[in-house]
Amino acid sequence: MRHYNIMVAGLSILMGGAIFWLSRDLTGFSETGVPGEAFWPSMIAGLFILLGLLQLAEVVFFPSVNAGRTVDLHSAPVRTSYVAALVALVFATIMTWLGFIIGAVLFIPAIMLLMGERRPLLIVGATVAIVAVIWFVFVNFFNITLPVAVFFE
Amino acid sequence: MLKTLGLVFCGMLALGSVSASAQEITYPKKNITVIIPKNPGGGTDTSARLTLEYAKKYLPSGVIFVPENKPAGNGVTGLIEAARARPDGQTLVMTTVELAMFPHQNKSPVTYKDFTGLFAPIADPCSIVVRADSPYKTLQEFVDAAKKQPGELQVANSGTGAIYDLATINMENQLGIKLKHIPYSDGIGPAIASLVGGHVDAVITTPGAAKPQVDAGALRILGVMDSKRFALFPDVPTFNEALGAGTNTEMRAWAAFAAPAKLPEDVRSQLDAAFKAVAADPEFQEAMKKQGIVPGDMVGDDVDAMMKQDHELYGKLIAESQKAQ
Amino acid sequence: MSDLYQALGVVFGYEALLLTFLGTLAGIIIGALPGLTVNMGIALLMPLTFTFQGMGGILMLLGVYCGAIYGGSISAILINTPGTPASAATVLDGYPMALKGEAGRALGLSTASSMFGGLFSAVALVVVAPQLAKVATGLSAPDYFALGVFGISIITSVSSSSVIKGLIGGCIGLFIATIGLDPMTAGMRFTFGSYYLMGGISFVPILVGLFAFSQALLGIEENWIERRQPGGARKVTARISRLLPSWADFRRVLPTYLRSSVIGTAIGTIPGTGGDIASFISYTEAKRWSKHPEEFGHGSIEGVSAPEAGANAVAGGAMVPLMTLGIPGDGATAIMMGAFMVQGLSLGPLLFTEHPVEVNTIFIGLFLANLMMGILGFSGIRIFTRVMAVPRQILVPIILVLCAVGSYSVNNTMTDVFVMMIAGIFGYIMLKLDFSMSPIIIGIILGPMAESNLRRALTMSDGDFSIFVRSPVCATFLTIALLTLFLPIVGPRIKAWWRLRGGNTAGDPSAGV
Repeated sequence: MRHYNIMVAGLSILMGGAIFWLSRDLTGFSETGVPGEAFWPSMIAGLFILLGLLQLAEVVFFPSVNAGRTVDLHSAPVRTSYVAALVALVFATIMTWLGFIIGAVLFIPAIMLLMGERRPLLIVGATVAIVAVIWFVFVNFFNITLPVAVFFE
Repeated sequence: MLKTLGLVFCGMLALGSVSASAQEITYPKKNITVIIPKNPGGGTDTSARLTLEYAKKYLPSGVIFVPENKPAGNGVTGLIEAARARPDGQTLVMTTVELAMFPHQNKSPVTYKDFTGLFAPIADPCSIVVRADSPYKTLQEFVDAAKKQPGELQVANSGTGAIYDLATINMENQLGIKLKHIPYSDGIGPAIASLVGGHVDAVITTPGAAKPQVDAGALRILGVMDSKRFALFPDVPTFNEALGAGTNTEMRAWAAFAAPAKLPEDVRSQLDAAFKAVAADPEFQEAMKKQGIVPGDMVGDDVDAMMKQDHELYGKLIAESQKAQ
Repeated sequence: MSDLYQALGVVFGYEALLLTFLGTLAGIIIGALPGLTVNMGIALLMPLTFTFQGMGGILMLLGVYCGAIYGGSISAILINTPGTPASAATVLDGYPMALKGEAGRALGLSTASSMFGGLFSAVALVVVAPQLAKVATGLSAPDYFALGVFGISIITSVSSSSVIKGLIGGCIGLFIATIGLDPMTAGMRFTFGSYYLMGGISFVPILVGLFAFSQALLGIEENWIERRQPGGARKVTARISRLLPSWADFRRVLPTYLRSSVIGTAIGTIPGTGGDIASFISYTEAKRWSKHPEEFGHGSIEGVSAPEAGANAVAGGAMVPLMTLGIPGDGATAIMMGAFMVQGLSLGPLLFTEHPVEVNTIFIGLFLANLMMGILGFSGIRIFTRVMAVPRQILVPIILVLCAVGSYSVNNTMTDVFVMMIAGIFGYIMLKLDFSMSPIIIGIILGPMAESNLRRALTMSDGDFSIFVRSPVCATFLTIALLTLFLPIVGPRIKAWWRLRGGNTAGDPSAGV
């Protein structure tokens, strides 16, 4: 936990600095003292830095607060989740170009396989059912247009 | 389920109106997509959908209008998408007056030149509204008060750089007064609420938006920025009438159907004819009036002309407002 | 009186009853699906009302409105995913209850509190609408700013383990909300030349990502662990012994119901604020006044009731300015306004004299919609809880696909889907690092309100900061905000110190901060 908390503190301070840097071209106070575009972001940036320092202070001076807590960002189950996130991003990309149905028909089995489901009938059945129900509810019931493949246009 | 129910009702409506023939649109082979670059349920969206409701009877059977709301990026992404669509009449878009403003504010890469204007169901003028119990009975009194105390009168609008703000700037330029602009970026509703509550002195908006309060005697419209009076409030003078020559401006909050530029002539004439028939439809006019909108009748070249005229007007205004800052 | 009878005739006509029922049902489904919000539900079904003559369409929309606010709590309790922003606070105690096997009890309580809040606000609308209307126009920019700051100060009360991280989360939310056009000058902030970013990052995809997508990733991780443990399959059973809350539960949460309903009605009345804010404020106030504040966050029955009563009470409150002034009280009523106008109802002060039958129809319709919502909710609890029995391998893909479809339909753009997924991945990592998601959401919701009203107030006063202490409303809210911000941090320490010094004040019941 300890070094992750230091990292959080560092990122917070960095974020504050980044916001300060990005808002350098925004208008500050007007001549009458009315705050401009940069006022609110600078305040947020200041808070980021302050909170980062507080977090750092907590790690250094009050280590007991987080004693015994651990953070797991690397173990095998967590890595499986990362893979799933990646698969989801691929799904979104496919959905952009080949439409919702093709994307979902590939995506749902991929996630089910990733989660250890091996029965082919269940995978196919679930995929067809999920896609059909979602298509019906969204497209036929709520009249929402879902993306279709570019070559069907 | 709901859709079927709706269809039954539509069918009942359609039975009453099978007289259309000359305005038939024949070109579409599939559904016509209508991009609405505004949030669903907003004023632009409602009037667009309402217009389509009355236009759909001119479509060949089996083809419908499919409205798609694309409000991302303040609607600019929707405009870009429509401008880049194939100009075959299969994709239409509901443009708004922002198309004439955004290009000058560096907010939009597309201008009126990328579109073919078809039909403007709304072109309501800007107007200045005060509380009914405010000391300003006429526009002249308001202007005199503003001259006496420059920069003191608080005028609410719907966001800096939006049409009502530019209308305020235009007023300041023409009348030589200075007002305090109070932007309400979350829409004109909160601005009117704060006028009713007495937190600001005036609001610039369309007469329709203030109609409920005006009818109830809580607010008063001092004048409209148009060359003719507003049909729903025939007693309200135009700026020109109230203040004399030199204040003759047309500041209109319009929304217009458009297609991508370079639309084939036959497609365009079909759409124009159909929209002309919609504009003349008394049921359509009635439906728009219920919304507090005076139904527009600008079709075809008139729309193009208005888009061009406003593009130049706002270009000038925005340049001036940026210089002033 | 004849107006009332006529209105009763309209509402209890065969067609109107059917439409209200269908609207409520559709609303509950829309609300329960992540990504489809109350506002969207109403916008989606509004075009249908163009084709209905008379009040039928409006009754349907009232059903959608009430149903959708309630529907969000179902997914909040069962799968830790708020179906609508108004249910983001319900997650805090609803899901812990479901994990304890009390999903049925939680749903019963949330259904009862939704109905209570909805009916309470309907009564308020009928009885004190003209007085409430003064609240709607009485607040000026400094007051709105103070209200926004008060809302943001809640962050310390909803941060689960680390207050500092909660506040950092709040800052992240505040920063996300600054991206796009500046609310006052319309200049561009942090847009990097992108037209998508110009309109700001859409809120709903972020909400869906942070709660639902990250939750699905957690589900995959837990699934991995369980499969490798002998007999470790997930066993969260939802025993349902009763549908209605027990008398003991009801007596305990009744004060919470009342308090939240009052808060919700008031927040609904104020234009520009809606169910999302009302539910968080209701939650914090419930915690502040509870006799068991330590239970909050671990499945408190008051914690699951407060946000729902508050969010549903917004409905009646938001109708107040809409009907009396023609100014919508929240986003949903802003959309409904169009439907009212299509039917020829000019909203505003004259509505009550010009259309008395329609006004009564809306009143009765609102009662009816809330009752139907309650009936549908209670009779659905057994079906809803089946979700808990769906195997993870099927539930997780469903949630992931729904996240994508829901985010897409917000703006009909794939960009939002990517935004949702990236937010979800960040949310997952932040959950691992002890961050909570609610502060981020609060920051996004309230940041723009606080900022634009701060600057609007200072524009009005020419930069004079004393405008914030001159208004009593503003000064009061700012004081409460300070207390809300610091009491959860200092409160326990003061209590401990007090106990050390006094020694014998152990049984001090008033220290329930």
